Amino acid sequence: MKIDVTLDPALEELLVKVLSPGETEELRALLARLEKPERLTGFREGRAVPLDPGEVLRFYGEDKEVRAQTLDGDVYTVRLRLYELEERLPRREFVRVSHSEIVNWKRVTALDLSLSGTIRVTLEGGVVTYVSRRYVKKIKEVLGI
Amino acid sequence: MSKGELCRELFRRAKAGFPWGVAAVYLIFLFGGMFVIPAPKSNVLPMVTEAMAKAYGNPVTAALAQFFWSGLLGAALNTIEVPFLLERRTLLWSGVHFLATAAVYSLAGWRCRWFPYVETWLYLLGLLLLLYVLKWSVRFIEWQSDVWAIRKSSGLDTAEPPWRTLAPYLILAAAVELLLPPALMLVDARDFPVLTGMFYPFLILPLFCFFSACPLGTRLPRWWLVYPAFCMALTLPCIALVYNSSALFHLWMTGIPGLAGGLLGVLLRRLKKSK
Repeated sequence: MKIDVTLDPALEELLVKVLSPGETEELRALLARLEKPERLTGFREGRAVPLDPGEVLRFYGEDKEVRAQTLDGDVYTVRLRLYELEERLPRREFVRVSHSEIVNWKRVTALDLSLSGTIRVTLEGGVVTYVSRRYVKKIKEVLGI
Repeated sequence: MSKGELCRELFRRAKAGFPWGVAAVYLIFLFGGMFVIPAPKSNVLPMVTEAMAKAYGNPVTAALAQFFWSGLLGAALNTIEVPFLLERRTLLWSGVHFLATAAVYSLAGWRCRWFPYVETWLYLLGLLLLLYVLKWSVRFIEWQSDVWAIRKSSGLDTAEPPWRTLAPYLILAAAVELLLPPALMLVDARDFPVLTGMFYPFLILPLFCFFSACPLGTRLPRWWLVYPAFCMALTLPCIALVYNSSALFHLWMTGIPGLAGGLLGVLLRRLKKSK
Protein backbone atom coordinates (compact mmCIF):
# COMPACT_ATOMS: atom_id res chain seq x y z
CA MET A 1 0.00 0.00 0.00
CA LYS A 2 1.38 3.42 -0.97
CA ILE A 3 0.67 6.44 1.20
CA ASP A 4 0.51 9.90 -0.34
CA VAL A 5 -0.08 12.83 2.00
CA THR A 6 -0.99 16.23 0.56
CA LEU A 7 -1.11 19.27 2.83
CA ASP A 8 -3.73 21.76 1.68
CA PRO A 9 -4.31 24.86 3.89
CA ALA A 10 -7.49 25.59 1.97
CA LEU A 11 -9.24 22.56 3.45
CA GLU A 12 -11.48 23.17 6.47
CA GLU A 13 -11.26 19.63 7.81
CA LEU A 14 -9.30 16.43 7.23
CA LEU A 15 -10.18 14.76 3.94
CA VAL A 16 -9.16 11.19 3.24
CA LYS A 17 -9.40 9.99 -0.34
CA VAL A 18 -8.66 6.31 -0.96
CA LEU A 19 -7.66 5.10 -4.42
CA SER A 20 -7.90 1.37 -5.05
CA PRO A 21 -7.74 -0.94 -8.10
CA GLY A 22 -10.81 -2.82 -6.82
CA GLU A 23 -12.88 -3.75 -3.77
CA THR A 24 -10.22 -5.76 -1.94
CA GLU A 25 -10.01 -7.11 1.67
CA GLU A 26 -7.25 -4.62 2.41
CA LEU A 27 -9.49 -1.75 1.27
CA ARG A 28 -12.37 -2.95 3.43
CA ALA A 29 -10.09 -3.24 6.49
CA LEU A 30 -8.69 0.23 5.89
CA LEU A 31 -12.16 1.76 5.54
CA ALA A 32 -13.31 0.00 8.69
CA ARG A 33 -10.37 1.47 10.60
CA LEU A 34 -11.03 4.95 9.24
CA GLU A 35 -14.70 4.73 10.14
CA LYS A 36 -14.02 3.36 13.61
CA PRO A 37 -11.07 5.25 14.98
CA GLU A 38 -9.39 3.69 18.03
CA ARG A 39 -9.73 6.85 20.07
CA LEU A 40 -12.66 6.82 22.38
CA THR A 41 -14.73 9.60 23.81
CA GLY A 42 -15.23 9.84 27.54
CA PHE A 43 -17.84 12.03 29.18
CA ARG A 44 -17.39 13.73 32.52
CA GLU A 45 -19.34 16.58 34.10
CA GLY A 46 -20.98 17.44 30.77
CA ARG A 47 -17.67 17.54 28.91
CA ALA A 48 -16.59 15.21 26.13
CA VAL A 49 -12.93 14.25 26.34
CA PRO A 50 -10.96 12.16 23.81
CA LEU A 51 -9.52 9.11 25.54
CA ASP A 52 -6.40 7.28 24.50
CA PRO A 53 -7.14 3.60 25.21
CA GLY A 54 -3.53 3.06 26.20
CA GLU A 55 -4.03 5.48 29.07
CA VAL A 56 -7.14 3.69 30.34
CA LEU A 57 -6.64 1.23 33.20
CA ARG A 58 -9.99 -0.45 32.99
CA PHE A 59 -13.51 -0.26 31.63
CA TYR A 60 -16.25 -1.39 33.97
CA GLY A 61 -20.00 -1.41 34.28
CA GLU A 62 -21.55 0.80 36.95
CA ASP A 63 -25.14 2.03 37.31
CA LYS A 64 -26.05 0.57 33.92
CA GLU A 65 -23.28 2.63 32.27
CA VAL A 66 -19.74 1.87 31.17
CA ARG A 67 -16.98 3.76 32.92
CA ALA A 68 -13.33 4.17 31.98
CA GLN A 69 -10.76 4.69 34.72
CA THR A 70 -7.61 6.36 33.48
CA LEU A 71 -4.04 6.28 34.75
CA ASP A 72 -4.45 9.54 36.64
CA GLY A 73 -7.44 8.15 38.50
CA ASP A 74 -10.16 10.04 36.60
CA VAL A 75 -13.35 8.18 35.76
CA TYR A 76 -15.23 8.87 32.52
CA THR A 77 -18.45 7.50 31.11
CA VAL A 78 -18.07 5.76 27.76
CA ARG A 79 -21.12 5.49 25.51
CA LEU A 80 -20.28 2.04 24.28
CA ARG A 81 -21.21 -1.38 25.65
CA LEU A 82 -18.49 -3.59 27.08
CA TYR A 83 -18.87 -6.09 24.23
CA GLU A 84 -18.44 -3.24 21.71
CA LEU A 85 -15.28 -2.12 23.47
CA GLU A 86 -14.07 -5.71 23.49
CA GLU A 87 -14.53 -5.86 19.70
CA ARG A 88 -12.97 -2.49 19.07
CA LEU A 89 -9.91 -2.62 21.33
CA PRO A 90 -6.79 -4.76 20.73
CA ARG A 91 -7.61 -8.26 22.00
CA ARG A 92 -4.31 -9.05 23.71
CA GLU A 93 -4.12 -5.65 25.34
CA PHE A 94 -7.64 -5.32 26.69
CA VAL A 95 -8.79 -8.46 28.42
CA ARG A 96 -12.29 -9.18 29.68
CA VAL A 97 -11.80 -10.32 33.29
CA SER A 98 -15.43 -10.56 34.36
CA HIS A 99 -18.97 -10.02 33.20
CA SER A 100 -18.67 -6.31 33.98
CA GLU A 101 -15.03 -5.43 33.41
CA ILE A 102 -12.28 -5.12 30.80
CA VAL A 103 -8.73 -4.55 32.02
CA ASN A 104 -5.78 -2.99 30.20
CA TRP A 105 -3.43 -5.95 30.59
CA LYS A 106 -0.35 -3.81 29.86
CA ARG A 107 -1.09 -1.92 33.07
CA VAL A 108 -1.31 -4.98 35.30
CA THR A 109 1.40 -5.02 37.95
CA ALA A 110 0.42 -8.06 40.01
CA LEU A 111 -1.85 -11.06 39.97
CA ASP A 112 -2.59 -12.90 43.23
CA LEU A 113 -4.74 -15.75 44.41
CA SER A 114 -6.31 -15.49 47.83
CA LEU A 115 -6.93 -18.52 50.04
CA SER A 116 -10.64 -18.24 49.32
CA GLY A 117 -9.90 -18.65 45.60
CA THR A 118 -10.39 -15.04 44.51
CA ILE A 119 -7.97 -13.85 41.82
CA ARG A 120 -6.90 -10.28 42.52
CA VAL A 121 -5.48 -8.03 39.82
CA THR A 122 -3.44 -4.98 40.80
CA LEU A 123 -3.15 -2.25 38.20
CA GLU A 124 -0.79 0.70 38.02
CA GLY A 125 -1.47 3.23 40.74
CA GLY A 126 -2.55 0.46 43.13
CA VAL A 127 -6.01 0.05 41.57
CA VAL A 128 -7.33 -3.37 42.58
CA THR A 129 -9.92 -5.44 40.79
CA TYR A 130 -10.96 -9.11 40.64
CA VAL A 131 -10.96 -11.77 37.95
CA SER A 132 -13.99 -13.96 37.61
CA ARG A 133 -12.91 -17.61 37.72
CA ARG A 134 -15.25 -18.32 34.82
CA TYR A 135 -13.18 -15.96 32.65
CA VAL A 136 -9.82 -17.57 33.46
CA LYS A 137 -10.05 -20.00 30.52
CA LYS A 138 -10.85 -17.12 28.17
CA ILE A 139 -7.96 -15.03 29.53
CA LYS A 140 -5.59 -17.95 28.97
CA GLU A 141 -6.82 -18.26 25.40
CA VAL A 142 -6.36 -14.54 24.74
CA LEU A 143 -2.83 -14.66 26.14
CA GLY A 144 -2.08 -17.72 24.04
CA ILE A 145 -1.55 -20.13 26.94
CA MET B 1 -24.02 -17.24 38.01
CA SER B 2 -27.38 -15.89 39.15
CA LYS B 3 -29.19 -17.18 42.22
CA GLY B 4 -31.80 -18.91 40.05
CA GLU B 5 -29.14 -20.67 37.97
CA LEU B 6 -27.32 -21.71 41.12
CA CYS B 7 -30.49 -23.16 42.68
CA ARG B 8 -31.24 -25.07 39.47
CA GLU B 9 -27.68 -26.44 39.41
CA LEU B 10 -27.93 -27.42 43.07
CA PHE B 11 -31.21 -29.23 42.45
CA ARG B 12 -29.90 -30.93 39.30
CA ARG B 13 -26.82 -32.27 41.09
CA ALA B 14 -28.82 -33.32 44.15
CA LYS B 15 -31.26 -35.22 41.93
CA ALA B 16 -28.37 -36.98 40.19
CA GLY B 17 -26.69 -37.78 43.51
CA PHE B 18 -29.74 -39.39 45.16
CA PRO B 19 -29.56 -42.75 43.29
CA TRP B 20 -25.77 -42.81 43.73
CA GLY B 21 -26.17 -42.47 47.49
CA VAL B 22 -28.72 -45.29 47.60
CA ALA B 23 -26.53 -47.52 45.43
CA ALA B 24 -23.36 -46.78 47.45
CA VAL B 25 -24.96 -47.61 50.82
CA TYR B 26 -26.52 -50.84 49.54
CA LEU B 27 -23.24 -51.84 47.89
CA ILE B 28 -21.41 -51.27 51.19
CA PHE B 29 -23.91 -53.55 52.92
CA LEU B 30 -23.70 -56.11 50.12
CA PHE B 31 -19.89 -56.29 50.06
CA GLY B 32 -19.56 -55.82 53.79
CA GLY B 33 -21.94 -58.76 54.38
CA MET B 34 -19.96 -61.00 52.04
CA PHE B 35 -16.84 -60.74 54.16
CA VAL B 36 -18.40 -61.23 57.58
CA ILE B 37 -16.61 -63.94 59.56
CA PRO B 38 -18.27 -66.27 60.55
CA ALA B 39 -20.61 -66.18 57.51
CA PRO B 40 -24.28 -65.59 58.37
CA LYS B 41 -26.33 -68.80 58.59
CA SER B 42 -29.11 -67.61 56.28
CA ASN B 43 -28.47 -67.17 52.53
CA VAL B 44 -29.95 -63.66 52.58
CA LEU B 45 -27.44 -60.86 52.95
CA PRO B 46 -28.61 -58.14 55.37
CA MET B 47 -29.31 -54.77 53.69
CA VAL B 48 -29.91 -52.88 56.93
CA THR B 49 -28.31 -53.18 60.34
CA GLU B 50 -29.94 -55.51 62.84
CA ALA B 51 -30.53 -52.60 65.22
CA MET B 52 -32.34 -50.67 62.49
CA ALA B 53 -34.56 -53.62 61.52
CA LYS B 54 -35.47 -54.00 65.19
CA ALA B 55 -36.19 -50.28 65.64
CA TYR B 56 -38.45 -50.09 62.57
CA GLY B 57 -40.34 -53.30 63.34
CA ASN B 58 -39.47 -55.11 60.11
CA PRO B 59 -36.57 -55.09 57.62
CA VAL B 60 -38.67 -53.85 54.68
CA THR B 61 -39.74 -50.62 56.43
CA ALA B 62 -36.17 -50.22 57.64
CA ALA B 63 -34.84 -50.68 54.07
CA LEU B 64 -37.28 -48.05 52.78
CA ALA B 65 -36.19 -45.58 55.47
CA GLN B 66 -32.56 -46.30 54.64
CA PHE B 67 -33.34 -45.75 50.95
CA PHE B 68 -34.48 -42.22 51.78
CA TRP B 69 -31.59 -41.35 54.10
CA SER B 70 -28.83 -42.79 51.93
CA GLY B 71 -30.30 -41.01 48.90
CA LEU B 72 -30.34 -37.74 50.81
CA LEU B 73 -26.70 -38.25 51.79
CA GLY B 74 -25.79 -38.97 48.15
CA ALA B 75 -27.67 -35.83 47.08
CA ALA B 76 -25.77 -33.71 49.62
CA LEU B 77 -22.39 -35.16 48.62
CA ASN B 78 -23.03 -34.71 44.91
CA THR B 79 -23.49 -30.96 45.42
CA ILE B 80 -20.00 -30.59 46.96
CA GLU B 81 -18.82 -28.72 43.83
CA VAL B 82 -21.60 -26.12 43.88
CA PRO B 83 -19.83 -23.62 46.21
CA PHE B 84 -16.97 -23.53 43.68
CA LEU B 85 -19.37 -22.07 41.13
CA LEU B 86 -19.65 -18.96 43.28
CA GLU B 87 -17.30 -16.08 42.59
CA ARG B 88 -16.99 -14.82 46.15
CA ARG B 89 -16.94 -16.37 49.63
CA THR B 90 -16.28 -19.82 48.16
CA LEU B 91 -14.46 -20.94 51.30
CA LEU B 92 -17.29 -19.80 53.54
CA TRP B 93 -19.94 -21.56 51.43
CA SER B 94 -17.81 -24.71 51.25
CA GLY B 95 -17.74 -24.66 55.06
CA VAL B 96 -21.52 -24.21 55.18
CA HIS B 97 -21.89 -27.07 52.72
CA PHE B 98 -19.69 -29.27 54.90
CA LEU B 99 -21.81 -28.49 57.96
CA ALA B 100 -25.01 -29.28 56.05
CA THR B 101 -23.58 -32.57 54.73
CA ALA B 102 -22.28 -33.45 58.21
CA ALA B 103 -25.78 -32.84 59.60
CA VAL B 104 -27.37 -35.07 56.92
CA TYR B 105 -24.71 -37.74 57.50
CA SER B 106 -25.20 -37.65 61.28
CA LEU B 107 -29.00 -37.75 61.02
CA ALA B 108 -28.89 -40.55 58.45
CA GLY B 109 -26.45 -42.52 60.59
CA TRP B 110 -28.58 -42.04 63.68
CA ARG B 111 -31.88 -42.96 61.98
CA CYS B 112 -30.33 -45.95 60.18
CA ARG B 113 -28.30 -47.10 63.22
CA TRP B 114 -25.09 -47.16 61.17
CA PHE B 115 -22.81 -46.26 64.05
CA PRO B 116 -22.46 -48.80 66.83
CA TYR B 117 -20.08 -46.49 68.71
CA VAL B 118 -19.65 -42.73 68.98
CA GLU B 119 -16.05 -43.21 67.81
CA THR B 120 -17.27 -44.71 64.50
CA TRP B 121 -19.38 -41.62 63.88
CA LEU B 122 -16.51 -39.31 64.79
CA TYR B 123 -13.95 -41.10 62.64
CA LEU B 124 -16.24 -41.11 59.61
CA LEU B 125 -17.02 -37.46 60.23
CA GLY B 126 -13.27 -36.81 60.22
CA LEU B 127 -12.98 -38.62 56.88
CA LEU B 128 -15.79 -36.46 55.51
CA LEU B 129 -13.91 -33.35 56.64
CA LEU B 130 -10.75 -34.69 55.03
CA LEU B 131 -12.67 -35.18 51.77
CA TYR B 132 -13.67 -31.51 51.82
CA VAL B 133 -10.15 -30.36 52.69
CA LEU B 134 -8.66 -32.43 49.87
CA LYS B 135 -11.28 -31.19 47.43
CA TRP B 136 -10.39 -27.65 48.38
CA SER B 137 -6.64 -28.32 48.14
CA VAL B 138 -6.94 -29.80 44.66
CA ARG B 139 -9.04 -26.83 43.51
CA PHE B 140 -6.56 -24.41 45.03
CA ILE B 141 -3.67 -26.06 43.19
CA GLU B 142 -5.61 -25.80 39.92
CA TRP B 143 -6.34 -22.11 40.46
CA GLN B 144 -2.75 -21.41 41.47
CA SER B 145 -1.38 -23.13 38.38
CA ASP B 146 -3.71 -21.00 36.22
CA VAL B 147 -2.61 -17.81 37.95
CA TRP B 148 1.04 -18.82 37.64
CA ALA B 149 0.64 -19.53 33.89
CA ILE B 150 -1.05 -16.14 33.33
CA ARG B 151 1.64 -14.39 35.37
CA LYS B 152 4.39 -16.05 33.37
CA SER B 153 2.74 -15.26 30.06
CA SER B 154 2.24 -11.61 31.08
CA GLY B 155 5.83 -11.27 32.29
CA LEU B 156 4.64 -10.37 35.77
CA ASP B 157 6.44 -12.78 38.01
CA THR B 158 8.86 -15.49 37.07
CA ALA B 159 9.42 -16.76 40.59
CA GLU B 160 9.45 -20.52 41.09
CA PRO B 161 5.91 -21.93 41.22
CA PRO B 162 4.87 -22.98 44.75
CA TRP B 163 4.32 -26.63 43.88
CA ARG B 164 8.02 -26.96 43.03
CA THR B 165 8.84 -25.98 46.60
CA LEU B 166 6.07 -28.22 47.88
CA ALA B 167 6.97 -31.30 45.79
CA PRO B 168 10.06 -32.50 47.76
CA TYR B 169 8.11 -32.25 51.02
CA LEU B 170 5.27 -34.29 49.54
CA ILE B 171 7.69 -36.92 48.22
CA LEU B 172 9.31 -37.16 51.64
CA ALA B 173 5.92 -37.39 53.35
CA ALA B 174 4.87 -40.12 50.90
CA ALA B 175 8.06 -42.07 51.67
CA VAL B 176 7.57 -41.76 55.45
CA GLU B 177 3.87 -42.51 55.44
CA LEU B 178 3.69 -45.14 52.72
CA LEU B 179 6.99 -46.99 52.96
CA LEU B 180 8.00 -46.71 56.58
CA PRO B 181 5.10 -48.63 58.23
CA PRO B 182 5.53 -51.79 56.07
CA ALA B 183 9.32 -51.57 56.60
CA LEU B 184 8.90 -51.26 60.36
CA MET B 185 6.44 -54.15 60.31
CA LEU B 186 9.17 -56.41 58.91
CA VAL B 187 11.46 -55.81 61.86
CA ASP B 188 8.77 -55.41 64.51
CA ALA B 189 8.12 -57.93 67.28
CA ARG B 190 5.14 -60.23 66.56
CA ASP B 191 3.78 -60.39 70.07
CA PHE B 192 4.05 -56.71 70.92
CA PRO B 193 4.58 -54.45 67.87
CA VAL B 194 6.26 -51.50 69.58
CA LEU B 195 7.59 -49.92 66.37
CA THR B 196 4.38 -49.90 64.32
CA GLY B 197 2.00 -49.69 67.27
CA MET B 198 3.66 -47.00 69.36
CA PHE B 199 6.94 -45.66 68.01
CA TYR B 200 5.59 -44.83 64.54
CA PRO B 201 2.18 -43.26 65.30
CA PHE B 202 3.08 -41.46 68.53
CA LEU B 203 6.61 -40.34 67.81
CA ILE B 204 7.70 -40.51 64.17
CA LEU B 205 4.46 -39.31 62.54
CA PRO B 206 3.77 -36.22 64.68
CA LEU B 207 7.40 -35.16 64.84
CA PHE B 208 7.91 -35.62 61.11
CA CYS B 209 4.74 -33.69 60.24
CA PHE B 210 5.51 -30.90 62.68
CA PHE B 211 9.12 -30.35 61.61
CA SER B 212 8.45 -30.71 57.88
CA ALA B 213 5.48 -28.32 57.95
CA CYS B 214 7.45 -25.68 59.85
CA PRO B 215 9.82 -24.66 56.99
CA LEU B 216 6.91 -24.81 54.56
CA GLY B 217 5.02 -22.32 56.71
CA THR B 218 8.06 -20.04 56.49
CA ARG B 219 8.62 -20.46 52.77
CA LEU B 220 5.15 -20.73 51.30
CA PRO B 221 2.53 -18.29 52.53
CA ARG B 222 -0.97 -19.85 52.26
CA TRP B 223 0.30 -22.88 50.34
CA TRP B 224 1.59 -24.63 53.44
CA LEU B 225 -2.08 -25.30 54.37
CA VAL B 226 -2.25 -27.86 51.57
CA TYR B 227 0.51 -29.91 53.20
CA PRO B 228 -1.27 -31.14 56.39
CA ALA B 229 -4.26 -32.20 54.26
CA PHE B 230 -2.02 -34.28 52.00
CA CYS B 231 -0.18 -35.72 55.01
CA MET B 232 -3.54 -36.84 56.40
CA ALA B 233 -4.60 -38.39 53.11
CA LEU B 234 -1.27 -40.20 52.80
CA THR B 235 -1.93 -42.13 56.02
CA LEU B 236 -5.04 -43.78 54.54
CA PRO B 237 -3.37 -46.45 52.33
CA CYS B 238 -1.33 -47.80 55.27
CA ILE B 239 -4.34 -47.69 57.60
CA ALA B 240 -6.16 -49.89 55.08
CA LEU B 241 -3.25 -52.20 54.23
CA VAL B 242 -1.01 -52.39 57.28
CA TYR B 243 -3.31 -51.45 60.16
CA ASN B 244 -7.10 -51.43 60.46
CA SER B 245 -9.82 -48.91 61.26
CA SER B 246 -8.56 -48.63 64.85
CA ALA B 247 -5.55 -46.75 63.41
CA LEU B 248 -7.68 -43.94 62.00
CA PHE B 249 -6.28 -41.74 64.76
CA HIS B 250 -3.15 -41.51 62.54
CA LEU B 251 -5.11 -38.90 60.60
CA TRP B 252 -5.03 -36.55 63.57
CA MET B 253 -1.49 -37.53 64.50
CA THR B 254 -0.45 -36.07 61.13
CA GLY B 255 -3.00 -33.29 60.62
CA ILE B 256 -2.70 -31.54 63.98
CA PRO B 257 1.13 -31.49 64.20
CA GLY B 258 1.24 -30.49 60.50
CA LEU B 259 -1.02 -27.52 61.19
CA ALA B 260 0.89 -26.60 64.35
CA GLY B 261 4.24 -26.79 62.52
CA GLY B 262 2.94 -24.67 59.64
CA LEU B 263 1.56 -22.06 62.05
CA LEU B 264 4.89 -21.91 63.84
CA GLY B 265 6.58 -21.37 60.47
CA VAL B 266 4.18 -18.52 59.66
CA LEU B 267 4.86 -16.99 63.07
CA LEU B 268 8.63 -17.23 62.55
CA ARG B 269 8.33 -15.62 59.13
CA ARG B 270 6.32 -12.72 60.55
CA LEU B 271 8.79 -12.26 63.40
CA LYS B 272 11.66 -12.19 60.92
CA LYS B 273 9.80 -9.69 58.74
CA SER B 274 9.02 -7.37 61.64
CA LYS B 275 12.71 -7.32 62.65
